Amino acid sequence: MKKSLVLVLAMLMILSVALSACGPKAPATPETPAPAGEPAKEPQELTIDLFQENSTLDWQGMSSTGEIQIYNWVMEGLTRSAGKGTVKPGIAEKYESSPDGKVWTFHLRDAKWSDGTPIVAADFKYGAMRALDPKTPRDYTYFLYDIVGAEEYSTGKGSAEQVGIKVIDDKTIEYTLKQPVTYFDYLVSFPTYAPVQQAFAEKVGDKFNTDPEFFLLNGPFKIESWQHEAEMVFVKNPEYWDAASIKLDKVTGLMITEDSTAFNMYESGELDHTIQLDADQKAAVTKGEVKKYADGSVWFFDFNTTHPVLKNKNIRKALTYAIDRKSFIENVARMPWEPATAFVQPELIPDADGKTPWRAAKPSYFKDNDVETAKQLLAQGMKELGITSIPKLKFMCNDQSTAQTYAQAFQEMWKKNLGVEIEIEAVPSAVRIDRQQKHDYTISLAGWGPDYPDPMTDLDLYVTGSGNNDPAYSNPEYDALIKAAKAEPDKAKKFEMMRKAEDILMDDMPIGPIYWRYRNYAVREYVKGFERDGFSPDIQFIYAWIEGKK
Amino acid sequence: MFKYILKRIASALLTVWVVVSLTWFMMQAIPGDPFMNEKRVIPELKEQLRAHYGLDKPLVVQYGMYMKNFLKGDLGMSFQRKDRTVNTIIKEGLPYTADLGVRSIVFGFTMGILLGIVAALNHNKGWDRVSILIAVIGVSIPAFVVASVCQYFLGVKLKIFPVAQYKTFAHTIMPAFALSLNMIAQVARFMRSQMLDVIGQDYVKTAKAKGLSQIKIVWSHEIRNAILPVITILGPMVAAILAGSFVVETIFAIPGIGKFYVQSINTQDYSLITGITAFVGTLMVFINLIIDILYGLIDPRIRLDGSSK
Repeated sequence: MKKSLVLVLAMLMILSVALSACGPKAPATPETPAPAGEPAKEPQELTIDLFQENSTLDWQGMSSTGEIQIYNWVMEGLTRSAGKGTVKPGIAEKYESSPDGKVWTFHLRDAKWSDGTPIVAADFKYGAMRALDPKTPRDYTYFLYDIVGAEEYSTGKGSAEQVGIKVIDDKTIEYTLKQPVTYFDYLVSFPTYAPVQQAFAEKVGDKFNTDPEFFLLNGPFKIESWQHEAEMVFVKNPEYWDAASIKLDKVTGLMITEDSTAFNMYESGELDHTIQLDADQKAAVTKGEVKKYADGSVWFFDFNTTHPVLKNKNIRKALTYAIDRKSFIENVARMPWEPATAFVQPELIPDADGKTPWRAAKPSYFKDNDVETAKQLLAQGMKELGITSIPKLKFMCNDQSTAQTYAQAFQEMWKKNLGVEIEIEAVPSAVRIDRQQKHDYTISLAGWGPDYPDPMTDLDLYVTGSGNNDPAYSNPEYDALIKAAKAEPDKAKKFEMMRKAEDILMDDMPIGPIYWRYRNYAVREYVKGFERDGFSPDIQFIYAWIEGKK
Repeated sequence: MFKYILKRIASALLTVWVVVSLTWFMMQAIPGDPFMNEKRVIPELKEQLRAHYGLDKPLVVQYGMYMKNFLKGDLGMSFQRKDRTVNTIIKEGLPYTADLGVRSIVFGFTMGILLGIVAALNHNKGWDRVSILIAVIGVSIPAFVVASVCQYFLGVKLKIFPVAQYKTFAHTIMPAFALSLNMIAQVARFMRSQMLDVIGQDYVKTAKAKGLSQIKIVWSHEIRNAILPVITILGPMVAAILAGSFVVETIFAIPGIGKFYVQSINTQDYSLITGITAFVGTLMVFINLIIDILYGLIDPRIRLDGSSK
């Protein structure tokens, strides 16, 4: 028996060794060589968590945060994000708008593509027209619809010649808008407005931006390698016009979709950064490595205003006021969120002066956990509806365990504080979105993140008939204010109208704000200048550097 | 035998067609579409996108177009990975899933056989009890739990292996072990019971009486006869390994095709889920066919076509 055991064990060992020689090996990430003749310095290399492979890196096709942040690392538009919804000159060294705010002119600096060819105004026009091409519809094409003729061309109702983008000369480009857009300089930092060199795009055809050899870049970093679904390696782009400001030589982005795995890699030193930390992970990380930022999103109840009970605004307000947000955040969610007692976010959305937060003028519309007022509103609402009790209401949430836990917490609070019975419907995310869009729900939990640094990004969701108006809310006065604000060239008047619009929204309460979302994340103390932002791009390492790594 | 194989191939192709069609229609039945997002695509643009991808055509027409391309080997474009075809995604991810799967199966099957043999030869003694313990652990604890525990203790705390990714031999050990544990348990128990059955047979007693060496008896008589039924569970075991790989790949950040199974359903990537189902379904059907043929080759007494020798 012992001899047979030895024989079998020996076979096993041979087999394992043989197996180790088989199978694919990931391409070795090339080491960045130290420049000849220079003394050794601390390697300026960073490894971050990229979370997952993106849907596309075709600039004009981009729509997600993950895609837009990569754009920010390897490309530059007319302007560039300077964090927290602000922008600074990018490829355009200066720009101005006409007095009526409808014509924007951008003057390009001397800048080159990664192959050394100059970037010209025609590249920006070609990129925009690529986004508007009716033969290739893309998610965020509507970002260009403020431009005269853009929507008509994109939907096949107009011609390319009618689009209000004019190349004055190689260094000057002009955009003519349908109405004044005070944040147009922010919009042009977005990938939909990215420059594309026509000759290069035509040469690579369908392979555009699918693998490193099919990219032509103009930003701070280049893509050195891309192992799909696994990792991307970025190296400094020496042709970038501001290369002198870039200190990092190499950034490796690993695609780790599982939060716990990313945390384990951070703990073992394989990552310098994690996307986010839950409460337990935060407690385990060295204090100095934990950072917090506003991801800019607001989360709220969607009330279907066509429902026979929820058509009454006092009922909707009662359900909103009866929630103990502080307790929910501390004990149920255990996340670094802030109770929301208004709609527009406190961070990232400025007021008319462009600096003071919008929320500063009116921090809240109601008190958190105001059960007494909630009971009065409930009684008032029932009286107006002519009913003596509230029938069981359905609450629709995602079928993930955390979403169901949150739903149970709200169910408990409504039962305890108002005596209102709730039935929870847990459905897959796609089903929830579909049903919300079709108004086939009663109450749901939804979230919204800002697209641009202006209150309109939130407020125009609820005009009558809007694609995002899940509550089916309709108020002619609200609609008129939003329409007038969009057309108003005077910034102070525009913001005054938006303020009134938010007042109406919070009085009618088709949506009941619950929390503004913040995130904790971890980054090594030796990584300096690293930031996260609620606006895309999220991860910002362009100006980061490594100092004091042992 | 040749006729039998041809019949089985034809049956396999029919099975694949039914599986692909069922998957395709079931995906269409789920509410929503691939453009469903919290940030809504404006209605006019959504109509353009639907027309661009052919989703505005009647279901029967869409199905016809899909099957026509499928027969040419074109599994379509992914909605989730807009610039890549399903064929490319499978081609890139398959080597990782296959590599992990093969390592797990070879390790799991070999260790299971070994453990089963040792347990049977030490019936009711120490090794037998060890085998039972491993079997209980392997069957009770899911692969993702084993994976997470190994990752934390062996990767983070003891730093013996890398925590995640799939670059070197060291990277393959934890995921392959996590995936193989259930197989080790099942094969060990089955092999043990088969061995015990064979050890009690008359021909084994005869072999001992003839004075054959222990090695010859164990190898030529006991293992060869006991292993045959174990091969029959290889098919379902391979399927279980493949199913388990979906979670293990996610935990260890392995860029295989496993994770697309869940992701594709959540994003309603019709082409990707149907393509991967077709691919995996075809693989399973043909693996079972190969196992059946192997069965016939190992034991000449068995006639796969049902005729008697």
